[in-house]
Amino acid sequence: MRDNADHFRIKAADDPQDILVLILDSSIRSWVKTLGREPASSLNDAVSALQLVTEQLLVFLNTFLLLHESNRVCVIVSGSDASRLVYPVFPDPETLPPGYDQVVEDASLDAAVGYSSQHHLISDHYQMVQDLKAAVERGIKVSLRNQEHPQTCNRHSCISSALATALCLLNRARRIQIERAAMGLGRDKDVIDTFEQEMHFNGRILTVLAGPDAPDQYVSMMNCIFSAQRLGVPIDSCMLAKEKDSTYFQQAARLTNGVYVRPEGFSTSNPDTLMQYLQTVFIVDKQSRDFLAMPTPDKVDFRASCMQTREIIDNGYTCSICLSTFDISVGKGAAMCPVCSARFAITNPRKRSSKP
Amino acid sequence: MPSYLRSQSVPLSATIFTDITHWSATNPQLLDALYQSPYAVQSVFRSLPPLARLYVTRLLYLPENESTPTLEAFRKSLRRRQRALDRHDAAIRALRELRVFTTSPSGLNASLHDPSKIVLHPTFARELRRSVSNSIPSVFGGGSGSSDPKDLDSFAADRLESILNFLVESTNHNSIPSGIIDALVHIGVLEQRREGLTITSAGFHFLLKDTSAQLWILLRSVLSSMFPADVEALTLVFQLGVSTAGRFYDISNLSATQQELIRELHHLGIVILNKNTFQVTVVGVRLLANATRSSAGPSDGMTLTKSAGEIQVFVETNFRVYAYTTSVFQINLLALFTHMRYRLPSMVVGHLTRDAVRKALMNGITADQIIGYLNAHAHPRMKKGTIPANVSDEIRLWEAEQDRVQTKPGVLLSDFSHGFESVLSYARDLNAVLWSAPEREMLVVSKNTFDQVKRFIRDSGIQ
Repeated sequence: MRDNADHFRIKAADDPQDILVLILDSSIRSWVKTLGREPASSLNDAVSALQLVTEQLLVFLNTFLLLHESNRVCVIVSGSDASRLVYPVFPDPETLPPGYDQVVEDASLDAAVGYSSQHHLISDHYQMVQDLKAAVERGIKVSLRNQEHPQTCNRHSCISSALATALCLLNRARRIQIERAAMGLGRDKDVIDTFEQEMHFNGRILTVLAGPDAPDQYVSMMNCIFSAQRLGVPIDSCMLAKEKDSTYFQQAARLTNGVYVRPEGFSTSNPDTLMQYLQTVFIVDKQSRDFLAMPTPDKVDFRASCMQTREIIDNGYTCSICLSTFDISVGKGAAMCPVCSARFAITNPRKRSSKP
Repeated sequence: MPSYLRSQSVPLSATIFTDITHWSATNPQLLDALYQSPYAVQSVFRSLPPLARLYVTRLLYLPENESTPTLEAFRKSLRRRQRALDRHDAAIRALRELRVFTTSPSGLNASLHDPSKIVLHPTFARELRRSVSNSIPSVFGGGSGSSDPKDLDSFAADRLESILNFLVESTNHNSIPSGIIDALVHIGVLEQRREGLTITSAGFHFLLKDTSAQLWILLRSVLSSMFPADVEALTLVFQLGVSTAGRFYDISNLSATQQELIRELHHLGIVILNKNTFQVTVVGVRLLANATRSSAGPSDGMTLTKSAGEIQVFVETNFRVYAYTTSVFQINLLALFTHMRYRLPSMVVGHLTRDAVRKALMNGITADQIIGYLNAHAHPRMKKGTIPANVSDEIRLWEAEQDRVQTKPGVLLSDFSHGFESVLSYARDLNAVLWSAPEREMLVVSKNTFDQVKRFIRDSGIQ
């Protein structure tokens, strides 16, 4: 028989759906620095550069959604004032009857991450793409407007809170996926936990960065990176800023099997380079990375930051309780850990512990 | 299996792209015309192997000043693993066969043309770029309204079950339109015999497949028997793949051929045809959204069991069969090779008798298919989850009984005046004797050696 002879046939397991959480750094300060000019004069340049990048990201997201009918995206815009989940859009809780908002939010979140059976089946691709475009453009506008205040406009982007939101979304998507698969096989909910291990979850995070690391977010960044590692979620980063790399996201990429890339020759006058990186490198899903070689960084700076001064340190002290690291100037002779308030035995300060 | 051979143009487990490549071999313009539709391009893109899709996205926004990559460059981007190379070869093969990758770009200077360079099919690339840059209107003009997905599901399930029921019963012809029957005969699931339409061995195979595989076989048979190599029909199929289930679409915008196809799809439960509008069912959208992915993911199993009916079977060592089911289709399927005794509200009791199994075997169903079906639906409480060994052995023996008589073409030699002994010994040496009766001087030799024997007889002057 000529059965099974068709080379067009694809096994469902070889072609899983994918969830992408895109985090776009929209902090004005970073965007102004990316262009490398003075803040006051180039605000408009920064905004138009952001728009150019957004356009390309939308094309990239559309391509991503076209790759598989069950692919889903979430978009988080991270400004200097706050990070906002701009897509999927949730209905305004004010308009809903009390107690009902949680149900609606759950349903739309499930729909967004693509695993709720009904929404998943009758999703309208055209509508989804249109909504996505509108939501992202609106989200960026809102973010820019809220950064106009002089106090916020000089702060770093809230990238770690965006990362935490992304991980929450993906964790939820993973739960729903596991439950549905377990129920489809007619198994009890008790078996889910064991089932969890054999399940391949195909979610990932892409951060589009415009600025340098925010030292005050070091602890939360590291926590996010380790959660992502545990969840099996790669954190990809696309660094648009010239010259300076983000050591946090380089470490994130290394620890989570992600990709960290700084598009060569990217500038507002030559935005096509970004497009090429998006469509070649960042479009590749977790499964296909087993087959396609991904760019690897030459050297990753794994040095820790001091929890007090926020500087990157070569040598320092570490708290024996919470493992926080401190610069020598901070840690030497300290009676109490500044982070967890653990009291150290004063009698022998040199024995406390020291670490490179 | 003559019925299966006849249908070789439609192998049961192939995909629609096998048909398309088949058709485009004789009609090279088919793919060019198909790629004019952005929806067809989207569907084809989605149905490519995963690696092939990534190759397409790479080339989609290639800057103009950059040189066109070669196949070698694509190969170099792979990890050094055999599996990666296999995927790469499969991807390139699919891309070439569907002419998404072309080596002869139209409109480019012929002197620049280098066969190792890869160029996307210009129309395909143009329509795909339009698709991802939000410049394509919604399919079928957007449509309006929506229906309860449960209604759509039950419609689709009813349709499929009535076709499956028809296959196992073959009694009430009225319920199935003749177009579908012709299509079923065309792919060799049904066979016209003296006693009427009968299910074939391939047909039994068909019954055991999952819902989406069954629907694809039906759809492909409808396409190849009624709309072979028809661009409008293919475009419509791919358009349905990117449509929204339950939405009411206007039928008047479709061409006459497409309206005809919609009517056939209505019978398959893929679309619901109303007066001036049509809706695509959930099953239909899921089926057409990806033409190449085999379903049977754990989450896809639910619709299958709902539509085809669940059955759990106990088989005892005394050949008694207890089947827990409420599905008429499953009872009919079981009755193809079981002598049915009682029917209770949620259970049927039958007996695997020699006569019943022989009847099935004569219809071309094989023993392995019967045993496979019973094992696949064995009740979880059954020992080892398989039917007793003595039962499966007996079914195999009944099948072997069928082969007691073997037929071989032969030639009878008789009425020898003399020399029978020498002819017989010569034929024995040739291993050509099928039967001989020395006392009556009669001999049968196989047909393909008859010429040699004849020559021997002539040469040695025997009458």
